[in-house]
Formats: sequence, structure tokens, C-alpha cells
Amino acid sequence: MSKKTVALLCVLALMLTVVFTGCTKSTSAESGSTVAVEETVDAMDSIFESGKLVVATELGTPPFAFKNAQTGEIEGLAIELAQMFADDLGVELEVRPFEWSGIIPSLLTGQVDMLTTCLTRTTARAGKMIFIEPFVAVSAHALVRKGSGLTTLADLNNPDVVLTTTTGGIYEELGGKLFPDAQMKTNGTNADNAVALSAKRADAYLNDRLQLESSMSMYADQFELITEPIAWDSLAFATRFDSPKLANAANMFMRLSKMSGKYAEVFQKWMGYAYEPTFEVGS
Amino acid sequence: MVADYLTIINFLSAGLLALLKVIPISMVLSLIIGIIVGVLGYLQIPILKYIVTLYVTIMRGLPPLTLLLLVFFSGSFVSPIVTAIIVLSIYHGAYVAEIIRAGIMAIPKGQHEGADSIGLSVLSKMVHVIMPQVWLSIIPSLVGQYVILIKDTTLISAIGVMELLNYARQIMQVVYRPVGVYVVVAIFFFIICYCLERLSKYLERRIKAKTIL
Amino acid sequence: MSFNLYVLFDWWPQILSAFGTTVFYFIVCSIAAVLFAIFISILLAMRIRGLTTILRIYITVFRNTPLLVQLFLLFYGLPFIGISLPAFLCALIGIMLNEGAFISEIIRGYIESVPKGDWEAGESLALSRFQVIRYAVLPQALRDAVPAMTGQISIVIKDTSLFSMIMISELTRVSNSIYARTFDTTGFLISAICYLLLFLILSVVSKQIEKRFKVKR
Repeated sequence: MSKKTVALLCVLALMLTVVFTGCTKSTSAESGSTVAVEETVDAMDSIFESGKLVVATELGTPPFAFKNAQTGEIEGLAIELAQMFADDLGVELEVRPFEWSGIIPSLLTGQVDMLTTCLTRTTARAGKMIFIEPFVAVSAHALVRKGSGLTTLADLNNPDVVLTTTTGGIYEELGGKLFPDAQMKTNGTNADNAVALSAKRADAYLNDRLQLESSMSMYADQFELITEPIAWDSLAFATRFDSPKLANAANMFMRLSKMSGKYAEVFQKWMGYAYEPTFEVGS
Repeated sequence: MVADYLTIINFLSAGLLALLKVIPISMVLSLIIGIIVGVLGYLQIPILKYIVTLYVTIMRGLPPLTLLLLVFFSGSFVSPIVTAIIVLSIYHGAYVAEIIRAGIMAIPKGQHEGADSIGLSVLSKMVHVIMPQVWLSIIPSLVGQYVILIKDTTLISAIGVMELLNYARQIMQVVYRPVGVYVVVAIFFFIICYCLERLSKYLERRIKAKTIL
Repeated sequence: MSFNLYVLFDWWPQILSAFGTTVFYFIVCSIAAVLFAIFISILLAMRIRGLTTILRIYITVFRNTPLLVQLFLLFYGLPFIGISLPAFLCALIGIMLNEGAFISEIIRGYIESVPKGDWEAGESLALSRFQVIRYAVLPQALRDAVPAMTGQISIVIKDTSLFSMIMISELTRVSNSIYARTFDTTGFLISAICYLLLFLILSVVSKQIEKRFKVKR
């Protein structure tokens, strides 16, 4: 048998395996998920059992969650709220850092009990996980270079405009919808996106305001925001559908801490300005 | 300036820990996979030999990054670090298998025939006669493959394993020194890989000297 | 893991253009890497004191550091010191330097194994060292190096997947963005099949090339 035939056979076999695994796996996945609902333990029960609340976060998102370069500690608004929640439950908090693209899978695959990161609530994501009451609402904008001539959002919808955003984030999809004519690119982190914008590889960087502010501070006086927001972003913690008890407790915690004024304290500490209830985040 | 670099190194050390988990385990697992598949590949057992060829061809043709993303996002229900170890082992296992198969082929026919003539089973022939000789000749290429494995660990940052490169990208938010940070990462990899390369050159010389004797 | 055909129907224009991008980058980068490697190995064979040391250091450094870190340095690091190259050039230079180091090491090995007599014969004809290399040594070495070189070039296909991390919309990037929007991994399967296809085509082509360059001795 010649090498060529072997090669051809290999391709054929590969395609067959792909098709077959496709057929078998998809059915098993469907039946698997129904079984999972019946059999799995609510994360709340396992948290009490182990005495540990395990949460996932992305580190590159000051002031919500970041690693303090001096102390090496993970801190931020989201982390402190998670800590308060763990204290309320009377358990320890374990924070596991992930890169953004690994965040949602970490929850869905059961490695962590809860996501405490800058997770935007979207309708599509709500089909994958339970969102807790949002912990903050920020507007999302487009960041452009000063003097680039791009002043309104309408300017961005142009085939010559290159947009960039974080890999795996929601603005990749949103940007594609809002600016269908522009070219959509992505970079791994906020700092990488700032480089891309500064080096003229991209003309506008889409993200929430806080991320963009931190990019602006990296490159003083180079960038400016288009003031009109592209979206309002409400960030929330999330849990799995198999853990309604945990979701219920977390919702209750969020509401009670907003009522007691504890939330406003923490907000002021990390955000640097006073907390004002918005229609998004509630009283 | 110096303080910045101390911060960077201090910050990156956490990423080193993750690598110290991934690298040795993947090395051992890929060696185990490599030995099994390599011997199977050499034996040319009917149907099995096509499976071996298929496996090796796929791994040789597929970029490790694509394989990592595919396995990770397919909801494999394991943590990124476990996914990374499994994928790196399976991927490099194929290359190790090729190295081992070539090593077995290079053993003179007489050795095989000698073992067969004294009535050894295939398994004991492999374990007692062939493999001990194979080690000697394949160590340089094996070390070379391990150097590639170590360099491939940078790819696991893409699936969210908090390793060196990922920490490097995170600290960029705080200490904004892209050149310095990446150079520190590069130096780290250089030290490990260069030592291994020297080691493999040294072993190669030793083995050559031995075989001539 | 399942293969959902709708992904192919919905995304085929993006996938097709990404496939084109991958093929384009593969061809351009591997040609650049081979030419650069030949250039480096000629310089090495010239045995110019000082230059040889620098080239040895270059080869050792680029062989022993990860390509991804090199690409990040070029793409995200250089703008910081005032050099901002477009993604295409970063990719090209990255592969050229990285694979160039590997391929020139291969060629160097074959140059060294060219019999001493050929060098001496060239010198006795009063050819300069460069002429000896150009007309007598390099053609032999390159011909012998073809199998090892095609092996190394097949790695360039895989290297192109790293370009997904530096803003180039090639196969891996597109399948990643398909996943980001649909939570469907079929995109990765499609790109895996594309890479395998490219690899198999390349192995058939390189078999042909090897056959043509094979010398009967």
C-alpha cells in the first residue's frame, strides 16, 4: 500500500470518527444533562460541608479584581464582596484566578462554585448560568486615539475602521452587531488592547469604562473616550443551574448589604466615588 | 526600575509553580504513551497499526494550540491545568512514539533474531533485550522533544492556566513594562531549555564514545 | 464535542478567508524562513570572526525560547520602545527569526558533512571562500538537507496558529470567535481538519520534492 493511500485513509477515518463522535456525543450530552440535574449536589451544601467557598476571577480588572503588585494579594471590589459573602455564610473564601477565556468554563465544569468577576449579564449567558443581582453597573464605550477624527459612534461603522476588544468578551459579539461594516479584532488583555490602539493596529477599543480608564492611564494623553456609550453593562456574580440554594443566598446577601450601607462603604473604597443607586443596580 | 523588576520576578514566581506541576507530569506521561505507541507501531499489528499511524499523523499535523482549545472548550469537565497536562502528553506522546519506534528499528536485526531464537515472547524480548539498548540511542532526540514540550507550555496560557506567560500579561496592568516582562519570561525559558540542550549534546557525545568502544 | 453542520453553513465565508490567511502566512513565512536560514548558514560558513559568535548566540537564543514569547515581544513589546510593526510583519519576522534559527542549524550540519576534498578542490581553483560555498558546498548541502528542511517547514503550519494571539484572523482565531458567539466547538474541529489537510498536502508535496532532489550515490 502506498503512502498516499495510507494518507487518504487517515483523512477518511478522521472524518468518520468526527462524524460518529458527533452523533454519539450529542445524544449522550443531552441525556447527561438531565441526569446531572437529578444527581448533583447544590454547591451550597458542598460549601458547608467543605467549609470553603471557591470562586473564579480574572486578575487583570482593577478595581474589581486584581493582584496587588506590592503584597501579592488578590483584591478588589468583587473580591471583597465575595469575602463578605463567605463571612456571612461562615466559610472560608478561596479565589482561583483564570484567564478570561477560561472563566465561564471554570464554572460550568464545576471547578468553582461561583464566578466573582466582571461578568456582564446577557440574555444568551443567562441560558448558561444563574446571574446574581448585579454588583455594579458601568457604561461601555469606544476608546479612540486623540485626533483620529473618530468622534461619534457612527464614525466607527466603516470598513476602514479596525475595532479591538478582549478575546472571549461580550464586546466581540456586540461590536460585530453595532458596527457590522468595521473589522473586529481581539487581544488577550486590557494592556494588549491599549498597545494595539496606541500602535495604530486598531482605531477603537471597545470595553467597559473602567477598563478603558485604566488603558488611558497607561498612555497618558493619547486616548479619548467617545462619550456616547455603546452599551450599559451590569456586572454580576454567577452560579450554576444545579445550585439554586447558593444563588438564592447570594442574591439575598447582595440585597441586604445594599440596604445596610455596607455595600456603599466597599463601593466608595474601591471605586473612589460615592455609590448612587441606579436603575440597573437597585437601591 | 530595579524595584519594578523585583516586583515582576516576584509576581512571575507564582506562574513558575504551575509550570513545575505541568512540565514533569507531561514529560512522564508522554514518555509512557510514547513507549506503548512506539512499540505498537514497531510491531505492525494488523488493524492497530492503522490506528497508531492515524494518531501519529493527527498529532503531527495539528497545532498544539488548536488541540488545547478544542479539548478545553469541548467541556471536558476537567480543570485547565489537567486539560493542559493531558493534551501536552498526548501531543508529545506521538512524537516520543516516533522517536522510540525509530530507536527500535535502528537496533541491528541480529538482536531481534537472537531474542527470537532463544524463544522469548514479544513482550519479554522488548523489555529485556531491545528497550535497554534503545534508551541509549534515543536520549538525545528525547531531550530535544522535551525542550519543545517545555516551550509549548506557553500555549497553555490560552486556556487560562495561570502559568508564567499569563502572569506576565496580568502584571502588565500594574507594572507597564512589556519589553522587560517578556524578556524576563524568555530568559527563564532560555535557562531551562539551554541547560537541556547542553545536556543532550553531552549525552550524545558520551553515547557516541560508548558505541565506538 | 460534536460536529454541527450549521456552523459550516453560517460561517463558511469567515472560515474560508481564515483558511486562505493561514495558507498565505504559511507560504510567505516558510519561504522567508528558508531564505533567511540559507543566508545565515552562508554567513556561518564564511567563518568571519566575531560575526560567527553573534550568529551562534542568535541561533541558541531563538532555538531555546518559545515562539509565542518572541511574537509577544515583537508585537506588544516593540511599540513600547517606539517600533510598531503591523501584525503581518511581526508574524513574518517572528517566524523568520525562529524557524530560521532551526533551519540554519540543519543546513549547517549538512555543510559540515560536505567532504573536505570538495572545499580543497574549490580552493585549488583559486575560488574565494564565498564562491566555494556558493558553487560547490551549498548546493550539495541544500540538496541533502531537503528531507530535514521539509520536516521543519511542516512545523510552520502549526506555528501559524499562534498568530491568532496577535490580531491575525487565521483559522484558530476564527474558530475561537465562533466559540465566543455560539459556544460551539465545531469551529475548532473544522480548523483541525483544515490543518490536517494542509499537513497531508504538504507531506505529499515534500515527498515529491525529496524524490526529485534525491541523489544516487
